[in-house]
Amino acid sequence: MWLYVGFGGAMGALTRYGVSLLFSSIQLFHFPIATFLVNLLGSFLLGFMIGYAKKNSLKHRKMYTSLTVGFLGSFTTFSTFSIETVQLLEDGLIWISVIYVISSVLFGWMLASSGTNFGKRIILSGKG
Amino acid sequence: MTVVFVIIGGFLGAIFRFSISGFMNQRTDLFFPVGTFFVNMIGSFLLGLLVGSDQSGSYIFDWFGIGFLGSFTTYSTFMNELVQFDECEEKREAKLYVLISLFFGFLFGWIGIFVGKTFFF
Repeated sequence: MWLYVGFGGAMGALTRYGVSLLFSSIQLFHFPIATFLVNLLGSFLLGFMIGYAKKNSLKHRKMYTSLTVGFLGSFTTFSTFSIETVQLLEDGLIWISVIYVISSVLFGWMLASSGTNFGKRIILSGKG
Repeated sequence: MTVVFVIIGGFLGAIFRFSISGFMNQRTDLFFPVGTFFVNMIGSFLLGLLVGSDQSGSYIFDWFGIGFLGSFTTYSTFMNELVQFDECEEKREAKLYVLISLFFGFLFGWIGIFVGKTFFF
């Protein structure tokens, strides 16, 4: 199982790095756009997977763990989120850091919740 | 080369999180998921250490910072644990878990940066 998690994690980290390169040239009042987006997108997708698993029997449990614990767990990141916040505070960008934290938590929570509800609605019979 | 380092770090980080956080979530009986909390706090401190000691751009930062610690810590699980609280009608627990995670995450991050700047720069 750990090999599946590791492989998913490697791909998740790579995708996160790709997104960070994609947004590296975009400046928006020092707001950490890349981390913000991966964390929100990842929270929604993980919610979706969890919701789906609650209503459907999983045929590929290892694949599911690889995608959830591995890929999405690694795609999103807490350490960068907290360090960016501390750096914004140290740079005196108090309001940006406040907006960053509140919007990350509020939208992340909402998206995880709607992802779960959305996933629960999808019920596949037969192949899945 | 950075890509290879990120892949290796991400591979190891996910496995470490899976083992450590899974083990702790099972063994400890607190009102919040201790395993996720633990990896996020340790990860914030260590990333602070790297940033504080100005390792940005070095190969250590690539594999350990972006790859390993990025994967070791997780935000999606954190958010979805809040949804689990909601589903159990535990609103107070959810809010407390958010506040504790944020407060100590920033604190450990800040301490990491401080220690990195003071002792390793």
